[in-house]
Amino acid sequence: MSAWLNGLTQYTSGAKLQGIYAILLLSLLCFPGLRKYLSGRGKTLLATAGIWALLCLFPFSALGLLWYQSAYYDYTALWEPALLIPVCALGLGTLMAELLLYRREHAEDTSFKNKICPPLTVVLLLLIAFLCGDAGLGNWKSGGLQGDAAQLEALRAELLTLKEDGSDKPVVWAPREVLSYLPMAGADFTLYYGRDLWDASLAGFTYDTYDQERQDAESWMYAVSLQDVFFFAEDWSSVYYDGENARETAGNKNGITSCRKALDAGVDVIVLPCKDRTDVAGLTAICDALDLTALTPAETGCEGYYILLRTALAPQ
Amino acid sequence: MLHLILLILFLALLPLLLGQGLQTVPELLTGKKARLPEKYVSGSLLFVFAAEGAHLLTLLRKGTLADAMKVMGICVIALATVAYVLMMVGIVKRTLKKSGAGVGSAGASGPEPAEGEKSADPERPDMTDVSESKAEKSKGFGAAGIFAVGIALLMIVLALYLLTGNHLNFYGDMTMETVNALLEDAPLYTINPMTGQPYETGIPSRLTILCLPTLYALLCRAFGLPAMTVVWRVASVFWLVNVLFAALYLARMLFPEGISDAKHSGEPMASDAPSDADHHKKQAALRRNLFTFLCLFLLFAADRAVGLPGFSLLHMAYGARCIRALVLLPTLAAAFFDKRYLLCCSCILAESVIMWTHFGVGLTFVFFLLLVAVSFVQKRRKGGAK
Repeated sequence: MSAWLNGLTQYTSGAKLQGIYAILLLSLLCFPGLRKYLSGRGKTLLATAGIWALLCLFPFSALGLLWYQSAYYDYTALWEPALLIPVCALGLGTLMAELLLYRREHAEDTSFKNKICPPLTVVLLLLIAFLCGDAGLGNWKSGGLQGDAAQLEALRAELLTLKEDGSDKPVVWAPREVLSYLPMAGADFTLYYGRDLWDASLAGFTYDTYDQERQDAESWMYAVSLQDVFFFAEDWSSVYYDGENARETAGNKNGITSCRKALDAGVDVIVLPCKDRTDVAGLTAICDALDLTALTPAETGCEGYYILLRTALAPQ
Repeated sequence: MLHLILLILFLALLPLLLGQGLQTVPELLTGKKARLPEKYVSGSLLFVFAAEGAHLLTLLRKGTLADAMKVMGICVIALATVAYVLMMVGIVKRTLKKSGAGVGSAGASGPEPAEGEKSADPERPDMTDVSESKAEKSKGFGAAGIFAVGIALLMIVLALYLLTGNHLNFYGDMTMETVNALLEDAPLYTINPMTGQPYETGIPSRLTILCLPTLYALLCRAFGLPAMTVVWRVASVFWLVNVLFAALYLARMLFPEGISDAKHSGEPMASDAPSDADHHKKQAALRRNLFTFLCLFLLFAADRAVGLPGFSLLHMAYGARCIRALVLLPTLAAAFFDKRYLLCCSCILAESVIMWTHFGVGLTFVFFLLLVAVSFVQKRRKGGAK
């Protein structure tokens, strides 16, 4: 039930096009004066889409459909057969076509009302429809790219130089945006954990789960990514917000302990975020304690990241 | 660059050839002619099914992508050959029929209308949409023409958007990672694409039969292109073209020729005078082009949230959800109106090989049942009213 409620809220909040869809659907289906402008097939399509929309709106039918479509897909996927785009196009198109045809049929009428109003209304309707969305430029970014693509590619190129020909793929532990980017760019590295650790929507893709150590490592790395000041070598505690829930960094708050555990688990390369107020002394302490070589952004040319690697892997 | 051009040509021509061959069968059997939109979409679906066949066979033999490549190569060559032969048979038959009609013999009694002749079924018109008839063009560049130009411009804008846009790291999507993992040449679906490490307990079996990542990986391997180029750029534009053709097909079905617009109740105007018929034809052209234009235009408006069709197309056009929402469902509806039930079944089957479903069939199947039920009820009501 919460899946239905949350999904419905998500689907309808700020959704102007869905509003237009509902208005068009109801108008075309309920008013005989408008229905006459549709062909028989148009009516069939609208009726089917309308029934589907009702099935999605009512909780019990929606729950049935949610169960049917498998738990992997969310509530918004249920709305696809409601044919949002074709129905809006059919409704708006019918309206616009009638306006244009009226103008054509009264071509001899040169009044402002006949000459200018129909095309102006068409343009206005197009503008209204266009302003319903973000034109591919807006909100999607919040669910999309994390990090700068050029920066991530530079980091990947640098990491590739560390990979010896014929050797096993180095195991990398890095902030979220790096661990997201690397497997998309190629299968050149093995990752300590993947994006499916923090992206719940990917959890259903495999029966594999992550152990507590990796979850702790992810918490630590994520907290480090969010901080302005890093205290790598000291105990520290941090509360950060993951969505709506405040989470305290679990497990190891000490940088040395976290990195040691990762190295024990087979990690070869640790990528850490570099910010203006990074605790360089702490970083040096980690490297000394764990026999790691640190490559600074100045050495690698990778803005924003330190690369810590086992000394055996370090370039001579 | 040469590889990229070859891939684009391959994806432009192969579905066309396959679709041409596939649609020759109903044409030969029933005389029902197909147009470019349904040919291309059905050819694309057949290409997906070929990939599914290669994928399943390789999976059963625990083979690698190299094995899948061989099977896919054989499948594509076999299908293309059969399609070519069917196409040639269709051409020969049409030519024979034409020459027969020319001497006043068999042509009149055959079920297939002659080339350029109007379909006997007024609800199944035979005109193309954007390019319209030559007569339409010769009578001036009206609103229908303006919207046809609009469609072309929108397609260019959308294609440029897909070719240059960012597609990184979307919630719930792991196509790129899977393609890269497949390109590693380990047995299919044994490597966790997220980590690059072997699976410990494996993945749900229903997931293993999904073939889109394998299809993209095969294209990467065959044309020597990186996965980012193939998946984010070329495949996205390929499905965009399918979206256009699906919209064109649906437009043609929703606005049939020979039907009066404002004063009608869906009945064909068979007894119209030629001038009226031309008038209705022009009206249908305007409505179709307007509908298709709006379908493409509204994609920009339907992008506010993850999961909306506009978002799916603009940022994940290579994904199964986009294909279902914008290719399979409109094609299914259009094919149902066109009484091409094999194409309807193809859409339902295509969903089950690209999307995770509980029972082997997904939402398109339920949508199809609903469409059949609504159509049945409407026909009954219409019959009752008469």
